[in-house]
Amino acid sequence: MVEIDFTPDDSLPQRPKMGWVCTYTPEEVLYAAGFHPFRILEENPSTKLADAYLHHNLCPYARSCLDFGLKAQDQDLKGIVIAHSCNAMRSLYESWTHYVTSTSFVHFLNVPKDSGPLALEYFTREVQMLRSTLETFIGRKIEDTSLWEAVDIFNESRSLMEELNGLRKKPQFSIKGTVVYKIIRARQRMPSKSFNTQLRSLLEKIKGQNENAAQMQGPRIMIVGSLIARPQIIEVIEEAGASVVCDDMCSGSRDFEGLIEKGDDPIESISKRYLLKPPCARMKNTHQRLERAKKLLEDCQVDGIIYQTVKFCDNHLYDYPLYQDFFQEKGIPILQIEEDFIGGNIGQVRTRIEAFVEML
Amino acid sequence: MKQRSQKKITKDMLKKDSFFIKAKLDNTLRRGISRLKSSQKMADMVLDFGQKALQGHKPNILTTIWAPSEILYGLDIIPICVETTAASLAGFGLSDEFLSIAEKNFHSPETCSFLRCGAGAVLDKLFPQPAAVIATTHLCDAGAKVNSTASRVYGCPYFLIDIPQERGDEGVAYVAKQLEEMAAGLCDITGRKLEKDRLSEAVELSNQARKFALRANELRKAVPSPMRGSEALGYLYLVGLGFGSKNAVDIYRTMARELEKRVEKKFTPLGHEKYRLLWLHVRPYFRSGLFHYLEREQKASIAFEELNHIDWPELDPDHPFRSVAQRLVSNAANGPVDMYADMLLDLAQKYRVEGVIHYAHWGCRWNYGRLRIIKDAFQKKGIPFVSLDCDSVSGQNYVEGQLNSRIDTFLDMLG
Repeated sequence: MVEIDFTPDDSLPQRPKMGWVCTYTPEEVLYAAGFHPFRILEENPSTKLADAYLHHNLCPYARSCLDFGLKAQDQDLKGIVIAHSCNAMRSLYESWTHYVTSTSFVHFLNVPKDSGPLALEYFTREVQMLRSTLETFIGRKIEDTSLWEAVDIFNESRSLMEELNGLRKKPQFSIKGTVVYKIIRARQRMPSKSFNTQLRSLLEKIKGQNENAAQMQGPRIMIVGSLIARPQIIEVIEEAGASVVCDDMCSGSRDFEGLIEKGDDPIESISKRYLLKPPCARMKNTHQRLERAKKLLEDCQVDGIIYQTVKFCDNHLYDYPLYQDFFQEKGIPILQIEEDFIGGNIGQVRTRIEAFVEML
Repeated sequence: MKQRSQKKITKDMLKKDSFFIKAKLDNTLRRGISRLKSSQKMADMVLDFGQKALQGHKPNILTTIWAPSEILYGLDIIPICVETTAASLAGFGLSDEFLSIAEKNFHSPETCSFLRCGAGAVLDKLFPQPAAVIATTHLCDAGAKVNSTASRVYGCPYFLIDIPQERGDEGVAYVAKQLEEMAAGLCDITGRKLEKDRLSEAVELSNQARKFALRANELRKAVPSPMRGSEALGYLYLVGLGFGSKNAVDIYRTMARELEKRVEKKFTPLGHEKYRLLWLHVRPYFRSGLFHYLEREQKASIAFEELNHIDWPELDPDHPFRSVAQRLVSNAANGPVDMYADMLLDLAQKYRVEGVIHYAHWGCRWNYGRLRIIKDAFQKKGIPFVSLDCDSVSGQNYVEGQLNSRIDTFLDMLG
């Protein structure tokens, strides 16, 4: 089995961090401005401080991000870009601007829910505005060459992740879902160059190790949903005797699928990739999500689906009935689990997952 | 008729017998104390629209609450609304039945009951077959999701209008272009012709309704308050979807005239006004004793409600799409939270209120998301504020005694 221990390379120049919370945030623009784009997604998230500011019937991920800001423990964090992906993120932005005092840059990025030409034109302008606002903050222009350089680095991360994801689908490589999850998390939080170097070397190791590896056993599971903070839930699935072979999550493959195609204007190219990437439940084109899930189902020979939602995530909650109908019709079992994100209901989740895997 | 109106409304009756509902509602409305004629006209409008849609006289569109109504009236299309239907179902005592349909179909009970009940109505095909479905994205994620489901259930096109938070020219132009595309699509679907004069006329009607609504709101600043806030909170459909119709002009004109007379006579429907309050967000639309207790027993007058605040400038009939886009983008709750808080503080001052009640509808994420900031804003100004965690559509967790105790404590604070 593959073990990972991704650590940043200290020999590379350290950059100040710029936080982000939603995968619709164009990290390349933050990188080109001299920052290390860093997803706020704590391994052991808490909402204790944030609960005084955001009501408990709001998304616990948004509350945990506010909590992180209120704790102000990360001195390297210079600011945050909050994409308007949902109401919870908007509330996070509003509360961050009012109650978090440790960061000097907070930017709200409008993201359309449609992905047609009008929406793309609007989103491109929004990304351009992010660039201009960052330029004002850092006191210098962000050159196109810097943006293209960032595109190359992040495209490499995506290609490497795609390669890993491809290997994961093949039983002989025995790559645990927990390992993939940790690597994606590293992708979202580590300096990109260090990440690319280490993932490249890990991939070589994986390919070399496969002959001796024990084959993955048990039912093959796809996880669909919003995001998870820690691999606990995947561990539970694997401990129950199943394998997580693919996903459709923003702490999963939605993070890295789709490369930026180079064109005349870097902002246009970047915007296009982000708005047209595999859609989150927030987007209008739900049929595209279902089609994608169907393709994954076939490509990865999935036996069952776990539909995971963070509590109070309306976008994903409202999509569940569609998945239920769609996959029930195809005879594929589906289990919905709702997580409180901070691990408080893991016992109940474990019982349900164990029963589901047993049924498969 | 008298005998029939005493029968309990059932789900099947809603589908088969809209006239019966009208009679029932008329009867219900007449029981109110000192109700304005404008309120009766508004109920008639909603029922008349519903009947026309049910009988297929005009094409209808299923929409979320904050819709580009002028464009729809300009195309002679009736807007039927998911959220206001849920409110009506609550009023008929039927919301739990539709909530249950939604939950049986895997809709989470953690979501907004307006939209979950609406989803139940969609799944049960309560609504007449719509020509298309529309949703706007401001304030609410759930509306876009439920109406997306509706388009699948009814097998009709879906238009999603993205409303950015940005209020500048670019944001307005983006919405205007989407509205133009939507109007062209609706013409294709319904066979209606896009006539600029007709759209301009709808915008002009919207302006006239706005003028009378502003006049009515101005009159409501009078002490004692000339209108019951609980009654004003019933204008949900008109505020969200009435603008652009002839009915809205008539209703607001009637309201303004009636209020003028009441103010002249210093008449207040409460008889005596002990406290003046500002009411935020919505109300329970199921039968409850909340307002009876607050208004009739405690003599606490809701001088004004956030719901009825007119937050958009006069529109330009020569540029209907841009104008309607401007109206949608101007929604106070859609804008930056500080601007929204300033607007509420301004209302508190202008309506000379002593305290603020926030009816926090469970499941409404944008509302809860801003709660602390709004509370802080009022506290900074020394204006007492209480938030009641409640639900507008489902009465299942409504505990009247507990709520009344909270209200008592709050009113005691006001002296």
